[in-house]
Amino acid sequence: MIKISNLNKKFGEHNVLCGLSLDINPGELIGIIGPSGCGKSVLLKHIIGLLKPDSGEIFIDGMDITKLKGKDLKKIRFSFGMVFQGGALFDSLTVEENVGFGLKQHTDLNDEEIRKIVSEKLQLVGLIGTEDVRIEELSGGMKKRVALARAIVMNPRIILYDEPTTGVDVAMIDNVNSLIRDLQERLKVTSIAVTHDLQNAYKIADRIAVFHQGKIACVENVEEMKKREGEILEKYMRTPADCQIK
Amino acid sequence: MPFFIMIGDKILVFLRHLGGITILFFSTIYWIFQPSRLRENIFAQMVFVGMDSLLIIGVTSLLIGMVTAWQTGLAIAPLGGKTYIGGVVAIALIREMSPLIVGLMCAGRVGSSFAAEIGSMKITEQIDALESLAVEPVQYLVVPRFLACLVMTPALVIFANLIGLFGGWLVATNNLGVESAIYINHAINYPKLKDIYFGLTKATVYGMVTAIISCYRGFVVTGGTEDVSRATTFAVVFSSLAILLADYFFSVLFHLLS
Repeated sequence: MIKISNLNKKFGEHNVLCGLSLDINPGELIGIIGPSGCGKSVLLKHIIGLLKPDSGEIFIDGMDITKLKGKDLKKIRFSFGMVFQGGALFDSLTVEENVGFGLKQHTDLNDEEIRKIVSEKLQLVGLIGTEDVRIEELSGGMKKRVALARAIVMNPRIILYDEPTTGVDVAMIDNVNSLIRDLQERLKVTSIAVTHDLQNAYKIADRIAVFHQGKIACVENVEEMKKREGEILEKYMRTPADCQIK
Repeated sequence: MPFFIMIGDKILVFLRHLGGITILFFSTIYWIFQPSRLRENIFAQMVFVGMDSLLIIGVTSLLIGMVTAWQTGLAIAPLGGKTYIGGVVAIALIREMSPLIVGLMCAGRVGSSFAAEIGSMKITEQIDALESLAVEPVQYLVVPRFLACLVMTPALVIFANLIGLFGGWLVATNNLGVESAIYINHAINYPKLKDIYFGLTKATVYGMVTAIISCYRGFVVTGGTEDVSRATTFAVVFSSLAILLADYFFSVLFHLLS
């Protein structure tokens, strides 16, 4: 269970999060939609503890991650896997070294065992046989898949997706969406995917939260959201991102 | 009034950078002593800082040694002291020239690379990715670079001393008519152990300064590639300035200690 309570964050004069609250149930994939640049990625970075809020709490299984430091924060990060918007793959390393990075840093597995696990994860994302390929040789879609394999390699309980289909070829978008949904079914993890594309959110999410002016304006299941699509787009997706701008 | 505001802003920016550099230094020292799996990474950085710098340091040191011998020879030959060229070149190189040349060359070659590499990682969220994988960026990125500079700059200074002395020998024996044995004898006997110690101490500090300033500037890159290029320039300019400033203080300090 992830519980976000009254989260506030300001960068300079720009209010990004303004009393945001949201509950995420175990085992569900919640999509958070909102216009580009409204602060969805900032929210994800707060959830994994990369950013500290000005005020508010984020409880991960009852533990407030905003108060954690040092070893405690490191420990709770093992619960997370994060797929960054641009992939954030280490471009000086190969696919295998990227995917196996967490294992190499945090486990006592030997190279052979790591290679075996990496191959399994690459098979899950449909990239078997790419272990020795360098990152610059991959397409946008393949990079997203490698990032996904890296995110799941430590068997996390929570996966965060930051714009999972951005930068992916149009032909590959459905492929990435299916992969996310498929992994969700297989791994039974709790997932949060932020996106600016409502159609993609329909394909992957169990519930959809609408991010509007620093808050969650509404949370609906996919069917209900489809019924209210016109209203949602008009009301929430075409207005300024900053919560102080009305 | 806007002039004073601008000056005040510049001072605040300078103090913020100075504070950031100091914090990064102590943070690096802390993480050096924490358990890690960085052996391969440290070795790779040592190769980059040391082995890959051999050619440029070698060529520079050779030329510096030759120029020093020429200038010294021209200055002291009329006084009948050209046989002392070996000793003068040796002391100049060991105490001052080699550490300074190695420091400045590292600031240019290694510092710019550190700032650009870490800056690029920052803007492509690779540093966030490291943290999300429960890896401390200072430990993974700064510690190997810091240790590589700490170890390899003194090693490069020893190499630069040898090549510089060889350059001096070439000029002294071929152009200034100094006997080879006399040059070698003076080059070996003039410098004292403390001269070598002072030179290596300087080089160690210059290496640390370059590593910390360059990594720091990489970490504070904001925005896009434009700031990466600014970071590279900042790393080279400020590392060089810090090295020259440290050189002055070392000169005073070593004079007092002598």
